[in-house]
Amino acid sequence: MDPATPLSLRRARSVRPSRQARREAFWFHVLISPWIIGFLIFMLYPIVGSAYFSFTRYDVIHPPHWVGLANYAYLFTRDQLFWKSLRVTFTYVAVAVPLHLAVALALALLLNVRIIGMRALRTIYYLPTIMPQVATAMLWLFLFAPTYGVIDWALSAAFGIHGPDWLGSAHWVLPAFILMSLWGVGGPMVLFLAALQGVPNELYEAAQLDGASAWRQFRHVTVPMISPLILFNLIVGLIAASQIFATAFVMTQGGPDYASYFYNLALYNNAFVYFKMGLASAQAWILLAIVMMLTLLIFKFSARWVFYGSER
Amino acid sequence: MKYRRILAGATAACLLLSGCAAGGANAGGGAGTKRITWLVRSDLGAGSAAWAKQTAAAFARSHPGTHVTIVSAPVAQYNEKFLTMYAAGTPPDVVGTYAMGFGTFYAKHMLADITPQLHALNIHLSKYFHKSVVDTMMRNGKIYGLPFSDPPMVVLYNRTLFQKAGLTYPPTSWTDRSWTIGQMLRDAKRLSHSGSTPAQSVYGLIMGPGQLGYTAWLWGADMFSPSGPTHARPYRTGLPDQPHVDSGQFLAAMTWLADLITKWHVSPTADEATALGVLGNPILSGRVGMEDTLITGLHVFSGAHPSFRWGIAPVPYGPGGDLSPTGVSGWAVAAKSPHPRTAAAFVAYLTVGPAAASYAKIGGYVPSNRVDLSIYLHRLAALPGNGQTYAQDAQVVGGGILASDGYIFPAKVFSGGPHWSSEFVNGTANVWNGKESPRKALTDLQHSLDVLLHQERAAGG
Repeated sequence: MDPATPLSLRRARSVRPSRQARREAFWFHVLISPWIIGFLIFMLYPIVGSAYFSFTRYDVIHPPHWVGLANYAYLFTRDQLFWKSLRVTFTYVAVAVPLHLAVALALALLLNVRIIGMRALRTIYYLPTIMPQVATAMLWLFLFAPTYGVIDWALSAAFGIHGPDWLGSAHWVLPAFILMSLWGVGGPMVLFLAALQGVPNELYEAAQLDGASAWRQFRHVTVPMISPLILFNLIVGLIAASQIFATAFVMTQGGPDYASYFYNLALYNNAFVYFKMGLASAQAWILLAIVMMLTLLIFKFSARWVFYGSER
Repeated sequence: MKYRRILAGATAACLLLSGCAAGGANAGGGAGTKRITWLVRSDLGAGSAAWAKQTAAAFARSHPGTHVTIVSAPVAQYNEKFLTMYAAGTPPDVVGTYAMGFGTFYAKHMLADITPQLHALNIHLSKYFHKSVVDTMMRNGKIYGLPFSDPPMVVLYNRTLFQKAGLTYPPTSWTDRSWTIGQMLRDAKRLSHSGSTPAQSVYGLIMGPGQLGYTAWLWGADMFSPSGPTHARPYRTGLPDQPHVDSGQFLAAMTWLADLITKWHVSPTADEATALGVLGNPILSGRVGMEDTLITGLHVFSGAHPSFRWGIAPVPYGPGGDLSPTGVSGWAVAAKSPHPRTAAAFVAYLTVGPAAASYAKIGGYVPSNRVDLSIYLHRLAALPGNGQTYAQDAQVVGGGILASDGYIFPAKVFSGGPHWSSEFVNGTANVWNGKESPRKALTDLQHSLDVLLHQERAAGG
């Protein structure tokens, strides 16, 4: 605003916005209000509520009773299943997330060529992602069925070996879940595909002129150029994998011998089966803290390998 | 100011509309209508859902001024639904005890004492139920629910395989002491033979440890008492006590069960059993001689066309007797129900009234109500492949209800039963794979259960 404008006029302008601006503000509030109301009721209230409940003994039936940090102390010092579920979950995360990224990227590279029917292929690879998790679990129950399941049958037909009891063996159940996680690889694959198509051709042409091999082009051109997407998929994958629940709930209930007792399954059991909502709330906040810490760590070290085009 | 007025007006309109919506929901039965909510399972098939709908409507017709609202949830989410409704201050008035179990609900004071209402309704329970079955839903002389279903454990066997092996069929009388676990094992050995591929093998017997290892009752042992369930305090109080899974009898029972798989090879390993059961009950494969099962398991035959004849027999005698549990489920009134009298009348309608009889006609559940038992037995006799007479079935089913003596699935009796059950299932999982000895598994399990008991007694959360 021009400093020469009289003060009274400046005040009037700041106090009384135009009719158009007021109308826009009104409609902004009207249109955003469903989201705000939904956020307050279905997100903020439960978040604040669970933070409070995590400091209480609360069985849902009786009023919560304040116990301070007792739930956190109990989980860290006396609840063996808490540590077991953490170990199971983060073993799964450590293997499934990088594998997920690698397979998604490999598929995206394969699908980033121009051949007839490529669009159909891309759609086919993406389709499993939109299947409900429970339906996916039921499907994989049949695939993993010992002896007569598709996977064991294929192993027997192709290599003449008797496949393991995927979901009934404490040694194989986690690899089975990791294998199954690849079912949802279509989501990150589509993002990688979009990123790959955004890499300028000139960079590859320049690299080829310099005599770079296909691997070196991938290593020094493709990967840096799509590194923001790798970071994004890594973080989203980490959050999703650490919250695995529905498939384990349907397929194994955490067994055998707690070998697939994922963190969220333990949390669910505490909340809805064992009537320990306070303990479950504390677990939820601990998981949030762990995932947040891991995310911050990834961000901290991402500066070393993520390339943003606008960087100098 | 104008916009504030508009926003205030919009808010008021929203509140008004939501108020109307609530009023609309309540207005279903008109002013002064007593509305009760009934939480039912949604995973029991279309017949069961239709029965629930008809029952609610019929009750409202026969009790003017009442309206029954059905809320449904599958068994896996039944507890979750009950808990969330409870937490929201709107618990269902009438709830089933089949999911979490009576013990936990009672221990959490979630159920109402309906003794006065039942007295007012002038219902003579002895006319309908065995005393031991009603006792499962009583504490300190007060009735907290009425039994609805009472399926006993039986041995389901493949008569065609028995005939081929030249074996005599097991008896149908629970007092026939010639039917022992030794005889069962001998039969299983004769029935079993391994083929060149797993798909050609025949297994003589599938028998598991049961919930919290109740199969050990046949050895006179129980998880909470080395002298068996009749001496275990938790069955009277509903509160878990010092576990004894390392007792000699309990170990003998679990070793015998593990030997079926690893020593005598008459039972499939855990993965083979999973494979056999991939399309439902393993017995449907036609390659299993005998299987211990809750009698409700027989209803896999209702939609099947078995290529063999089958029959049912009592649970055999072990060194400690033939006590086996039933899977009693019942209907109860929630402690916070605003209409306990109407809700109790509905519970009576479901268990001793017309609804019980109509469910026996369509459902796979064995009615606790003795008056309706014959309806169920007629359905059982008509199941495809049943090679027994009505009288033989009646002897096994009726004898099983009496033989259970009011002992129901342990996880349903105890407060926190599902937690103990989960610990037991996971702690013994490697025994049935042959990857761990019963002694080692039970020693470790004893330690885990000691810790669990300690944790439960000083539980946080």
